[in-house]
Amino acid sequence: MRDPLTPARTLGIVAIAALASALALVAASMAGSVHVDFASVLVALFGGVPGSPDAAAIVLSLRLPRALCAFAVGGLLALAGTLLQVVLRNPLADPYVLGVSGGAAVGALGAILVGAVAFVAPAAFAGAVVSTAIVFTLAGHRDARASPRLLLTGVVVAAGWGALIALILSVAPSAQVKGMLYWLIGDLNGAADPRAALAALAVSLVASLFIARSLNRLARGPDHAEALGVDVRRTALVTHGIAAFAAAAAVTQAGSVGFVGLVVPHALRLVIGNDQRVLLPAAVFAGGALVVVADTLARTLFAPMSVPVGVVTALVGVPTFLVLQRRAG
Amino acid sequence: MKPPLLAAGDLRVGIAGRVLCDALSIRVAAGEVWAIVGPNGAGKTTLLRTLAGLVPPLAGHIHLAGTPLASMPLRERARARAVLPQDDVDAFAISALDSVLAARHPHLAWHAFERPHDRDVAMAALAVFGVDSLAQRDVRTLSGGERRRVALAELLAQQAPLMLLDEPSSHLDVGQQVAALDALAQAARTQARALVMVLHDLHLAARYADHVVLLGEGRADAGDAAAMLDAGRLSALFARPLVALGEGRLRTFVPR
Repeated sequence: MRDPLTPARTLGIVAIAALASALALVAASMAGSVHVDFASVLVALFGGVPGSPDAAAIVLSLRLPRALCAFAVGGLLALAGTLLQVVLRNPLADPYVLGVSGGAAVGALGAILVGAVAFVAPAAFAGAVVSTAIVFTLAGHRDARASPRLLLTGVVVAAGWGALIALILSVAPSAQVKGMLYWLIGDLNGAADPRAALAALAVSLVASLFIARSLNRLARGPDHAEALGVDVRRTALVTHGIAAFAAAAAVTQAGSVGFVGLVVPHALRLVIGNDQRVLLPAAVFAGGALVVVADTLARTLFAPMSVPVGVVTALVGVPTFLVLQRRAG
Repeated sequence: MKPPLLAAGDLRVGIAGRVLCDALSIRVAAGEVWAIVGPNGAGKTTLLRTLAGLVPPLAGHIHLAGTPLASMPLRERARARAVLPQDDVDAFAISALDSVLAARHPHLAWHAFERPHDRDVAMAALAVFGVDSLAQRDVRTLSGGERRRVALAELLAQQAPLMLLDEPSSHLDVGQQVAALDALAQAARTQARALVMVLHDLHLAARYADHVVLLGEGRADAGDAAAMLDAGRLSALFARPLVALGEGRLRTFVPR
């Protein structure tokens, strides 16, 4: 296996992941019904020789904001997935397994159903938070180390949300159903302001880095961690809190984009190992880059039609993951 | 005079509403080796976890090197005592070296990376148990005995004066058992550390322990190994007639 992690290797890996994100953002700015070449993107971003004002407008007011939304969503989901997989010691954990997206979906679809379109995002966020609170109350948050119970409670609560979603879809007027379905699959059409999601991403990542080495200990069990001086209960609660917040922020921005939170951390672990000090920041950049690329494909592959990004994340991610998994095996 | 590494007084230990022992008082000084002996389900692991501060006692007090355990911050506890669990559960891939480096956690500031010194300590601990050649291996691919020796290296690398071990000899063949416990006992004697071990093998208790806690039927008796490891006492404890074979450190007890 690989050598123990050093600060230099951490910086190197994170720099590579950040570079990949930057390239994905530039590619997203170039691609679309009007092609903008590489040089024009750089001019639009950094100024210099006056370029075409149309190209600058397309990049700065349309493509880049949407790409940054995609980046934030991917980063948030990958971060939440990494945190939950470690704290629950289960590689199958992800933000949605615990019912976060189900709660958000019921909130969002409920808002669409009653015609309160302006309140879709706040309702989604509230739904995600309520779902997390329900899971923790039912599973007994005082015993944050009882991970199988927490996971099982989350799965059952998620099934309950699923039933409510089906109910809303069946009573909704057919004109609303397509919008609801897009929301459920995860969609960035109309995403224009990335600031809130990017801020949520920055806060979540920085907070999680404070507990990164304690999370390494927790990955091997609560007793192991406590014997080495980790405050298990506090670390677990902080971890669940950051993961719920990050997942809620992502779902609020883009609906339930599946697959990213489950597979990005898992695939990265195969490549760079399971040290959270490098895995957490690398997952943010890799998840971000994945969703940026997926969203760019989503709006260009079937142009002028634009498909939900959640379809593409799964279509791109599934084979990539299967190949990685097979090689590692 | 230095306070003992571990002092427990009037200790009542229990789990799930059941009292496992009451009014247990022990003092473990530097250089000593203690064995906890008793039948299945007597509460040996719970007693060990209580002494480690992982579960609170029902009554009584525990001091580590003179400081009350209950008021010690978790990090300070981790520098005063190390715990070897009965079994290791590895949910994720991790190299043997990384798993030993984890034991350096209480010695590092929250933002620090492991230093070359920590790496030297970890490699030396692996070498003590003859598993330094496995440093780069994923612990999930090791045999049970190899994994156990890596876990023993973790315990040693934590460099805590008090070492609490739950069945350290499990998964080890008879040669490895003696090699591992020789190394631990030597560390206790030469580095002013102490061992408190849950042991199932009575011959290992006789060979290494100078003090023994007999635990069973809701009570605990502590005393010199010579007095406690007695055929009559052990026959009553295990509810099975046992006879002693051999002499002194080389004696053992077999069912009649």
